[in-house]
Amino acid sequence: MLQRALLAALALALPMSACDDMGAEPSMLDAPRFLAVRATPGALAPGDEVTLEALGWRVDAVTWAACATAWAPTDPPSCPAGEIALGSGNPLTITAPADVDPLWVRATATAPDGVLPIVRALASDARADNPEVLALDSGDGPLPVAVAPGAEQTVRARLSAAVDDGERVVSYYTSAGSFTPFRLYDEGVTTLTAPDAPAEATIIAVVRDDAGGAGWLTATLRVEAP
Amino acid sequence: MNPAWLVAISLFGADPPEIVRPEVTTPLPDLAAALHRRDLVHAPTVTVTIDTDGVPGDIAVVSGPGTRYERAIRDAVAALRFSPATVDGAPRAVRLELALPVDAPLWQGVARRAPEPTPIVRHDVAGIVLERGTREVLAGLPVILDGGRQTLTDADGAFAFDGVPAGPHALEIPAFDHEPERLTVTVPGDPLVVRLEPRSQRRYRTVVAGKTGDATKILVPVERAREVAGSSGDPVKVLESLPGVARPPAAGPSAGQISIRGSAPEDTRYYLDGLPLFQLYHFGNIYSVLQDPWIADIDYRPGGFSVEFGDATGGLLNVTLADLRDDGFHGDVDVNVYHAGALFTAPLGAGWTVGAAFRRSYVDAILSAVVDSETARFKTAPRYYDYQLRADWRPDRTRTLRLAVFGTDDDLQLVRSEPDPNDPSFTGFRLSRSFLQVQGTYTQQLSADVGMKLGLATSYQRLTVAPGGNLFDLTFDPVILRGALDWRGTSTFALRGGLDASLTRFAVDARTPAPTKEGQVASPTATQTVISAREEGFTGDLAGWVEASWRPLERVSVIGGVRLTGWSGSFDALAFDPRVTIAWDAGPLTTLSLAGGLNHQAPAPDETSTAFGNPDLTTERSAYVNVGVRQGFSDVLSVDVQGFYKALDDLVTPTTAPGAPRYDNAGVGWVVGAELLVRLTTPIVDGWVSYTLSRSRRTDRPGDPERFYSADQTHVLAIVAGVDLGARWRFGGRFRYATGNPYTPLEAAYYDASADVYVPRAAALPLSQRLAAFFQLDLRISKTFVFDTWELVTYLEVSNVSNRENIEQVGYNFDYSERQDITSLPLVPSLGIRARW
Repeated sequence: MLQRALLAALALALPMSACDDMGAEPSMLDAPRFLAVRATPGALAPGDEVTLEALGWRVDAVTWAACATAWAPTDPPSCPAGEIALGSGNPLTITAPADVDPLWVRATATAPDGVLPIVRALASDARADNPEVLALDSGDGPLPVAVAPGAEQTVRARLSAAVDDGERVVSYYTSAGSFTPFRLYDEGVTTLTAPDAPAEATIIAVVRDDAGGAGWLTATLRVEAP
Repeated sequence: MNPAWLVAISLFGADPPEIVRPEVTTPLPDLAAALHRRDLVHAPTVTVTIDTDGVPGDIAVVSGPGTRYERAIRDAVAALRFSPATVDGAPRAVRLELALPVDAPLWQGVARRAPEPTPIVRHDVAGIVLERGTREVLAGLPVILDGGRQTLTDADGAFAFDGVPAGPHALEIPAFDHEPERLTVTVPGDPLVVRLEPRSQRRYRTVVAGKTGDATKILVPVERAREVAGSSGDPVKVLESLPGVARPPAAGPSAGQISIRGSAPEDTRYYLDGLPLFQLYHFGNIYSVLQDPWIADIDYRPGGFSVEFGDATGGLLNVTLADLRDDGFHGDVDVNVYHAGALFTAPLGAGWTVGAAFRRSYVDAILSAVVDSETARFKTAPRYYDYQLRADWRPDRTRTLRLAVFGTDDDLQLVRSEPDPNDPSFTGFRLSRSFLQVQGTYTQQLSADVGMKLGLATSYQRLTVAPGGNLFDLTFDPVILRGALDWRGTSTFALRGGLDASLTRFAVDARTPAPTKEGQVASPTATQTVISAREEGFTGDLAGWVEASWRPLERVSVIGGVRLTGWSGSFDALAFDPRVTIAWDAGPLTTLSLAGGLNHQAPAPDETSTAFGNPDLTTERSAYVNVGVRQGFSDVLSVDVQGFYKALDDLVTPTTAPGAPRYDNAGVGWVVGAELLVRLTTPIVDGWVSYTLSRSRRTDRPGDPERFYSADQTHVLAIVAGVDLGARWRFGGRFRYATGNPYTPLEAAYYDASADVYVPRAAALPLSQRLAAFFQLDLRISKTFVFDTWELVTYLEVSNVSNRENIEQVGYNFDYSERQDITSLPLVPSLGIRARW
């Protein structure tokens, strides 16, 4: 019996099997994709209005739904007590149900290869203020307007002041080239490797706190021969 | 000629080179049947004089299963007849040391331990005969003076001649397992120490042996097991090359875990000298936690085991400790790619012998250099150490006390300096596992027919798993008592019985999601509900068992038993396990067996936990049938075939209904299979072929489609062989083939913006696809250098000689849009060196 306890606990190691250095770069925006959902205010206030906004890449016609109970609208299992249709639009303002905490909302959009779902939990114990990306710079100065093909450009997201000791993670996305590392704690400096061909790169930094809050900022960088 | 009966020989005769050895002319006895010990696995060893008519006499049991059996052993040997030994054509009386086969076609090597010592007094010519290198005393060898006078070495290997005139004399010691020695001695002179060079094949006469006492039982002597290529000298790893054992994965969270006969790894129990051993391997299963010089043999029972053991629906592995050598100070220093270790033993007198051992890995130093990167580094690179203290007390032949203190400490901490690109909550990982166990076993022959064995163990066990910001910290301190009585009633009836009890204090501190169970799709940790729980308390179980061995016909034995187990504390249940085995010795080399019964086991503690599971679960059950045929074809070849079927029910399975407990007992399953074990044993070449054909299926819930068990492997083949090349060179190889494991292909279900991860779902029916087949060839060459008082063993091992990329696991990129196979290690050479004295 006790030997089983040891083996059962080792099953917690399962997430270690994920591959983090293979396949498509998570920072590359090469297909329609949801990146984040922001609720304003960040903390769920049952009966109050909350504005939902999905950040996506080449995503439009966003439709929203929520679970009627505090249950993630996943598949499987899907919402056991049914879903509440919230409407369409991005952003969309809704009235939070009075007795569902956390409230799981799901945004979907139609993409060429299927439906893109994204879910997000809104909870009353979340922080009211979302973190923000105030600016994107190079770490030691302003971000240049253009970089050479194949060049490496450092990028850093300037964040709003932290409200507590909670951990904030910034993810970097680009429509041309790739970021390494893709994710950083707080105001760490990442590196954009520009594509070998001229392009106009849209770069996006998304900051998330450990309570589900999110904010983002988009910038453009030209990749062209000097 | 049966060389098995001529392990050691001494002659009262003339020129040794002309010796013709005696042969057994009567059928070999089935000792296990004669002794009513179908579980008899240790070959008794006797010394016996064969007179010129081939009649045995002066029979002395050197080693055996216990003094209560000595009479029966002597009777069995006395009933044998031999062709007389001859010297230059003339019949001569000889004295032999015989290792009696407990399994007619098989045999064990000569017993290491000599009989009771006798003192040596001063003589004109006197000395002691030892084996070169091991310093093992050689008893019963002839010593010839001046080509005429002769004597035998006694139990201490000593010999003496009196009345020898002063001056030079020729001394000759012929031997079969050693190179003969001729030397000149001068009288008067000092006592001699004669060291005989062992012949190359001697050490390898012991091979995989087996005995059907339980439904299936395979005994692997450690000397043979550590020579298996690919094991890096770890004898316990021989398990991976035996029938019924699925090829364990080499990577992933279940790396190295042993699945036996289609059951889960946690359904198999490990024991050390019959007492529970909660951790057999260091993490990753890279090496076992026990120092192999102190392992006598590895007793593997894939299923249908005696009622002496319970709480397991899978298999059983019992590692038997070897007696500490009491013939002087001995040591063993072992250095290989994993660790360096040392071991020492010393006799203290009054029947006491003590020993100490320590081992420390240096995998951490290697991996730290390899793995350190900008994004991840080892705070504590994987490292382990283990230690053992032992004391044996053998005041006489009827009593043995064996005390052991042993433990391990394994630790691994990986820290990410940046968030994981797939799962930002995975900031690192810590796995720490340690234990300290103190145990003692005491055996005593209470009377001619009654024997007793008591075992007491207590330990401190701790496991900490901390993936990301989560934590699971478990400590438990069990106290375990096992006692058994063995009564040989009549020549056809014997009875055994015993009690097992354990009481365990446990404490859990957890902030983690519930573990992902077999067959489930693992979701990223950050998307799962974290359960915070602190639990502590006591849990215990008490079991009583009785087993009768009855021989209604000369060649038929029936062993039936019942076991009643009760659990109380964190889990309350009662289980009744009846089991029976019928064996028919259809011929001198043929045994048929039929077995059936029930096994129950308690759910895993997390499954019955109030916080993580369902305290109202009941036991899981396995009903089995086993049919076996064992056929010997000669002294060197035997074939075992076992067929089995297991019906599994009341399996613990996750629920999906809202509001329901996390688990219930709705799962069922079945396993069917056949196992083949072909064993070849010659003085030069030995090895075995193990093949298992099986299918293991599960139905998680009523109405669900039946699926494969995740470690189901249709075909598992292992071919193990070793060749003595002479001059102490030995070459060995192991080839393994196994059907790939089933797996569930995944795809992204959705993107969880709260956790910032993609969440997967099954893209097909669970476990409906298979990894590519596994095959691997490992080679090993070793050379033993023998010096007067010590040996040096060196080996080179090459794992995965063909450099095949065996797929161990399927991995995915961040959004599950791309799949990548995770492969096992490429060709890896490794060196080892070992000194022992």
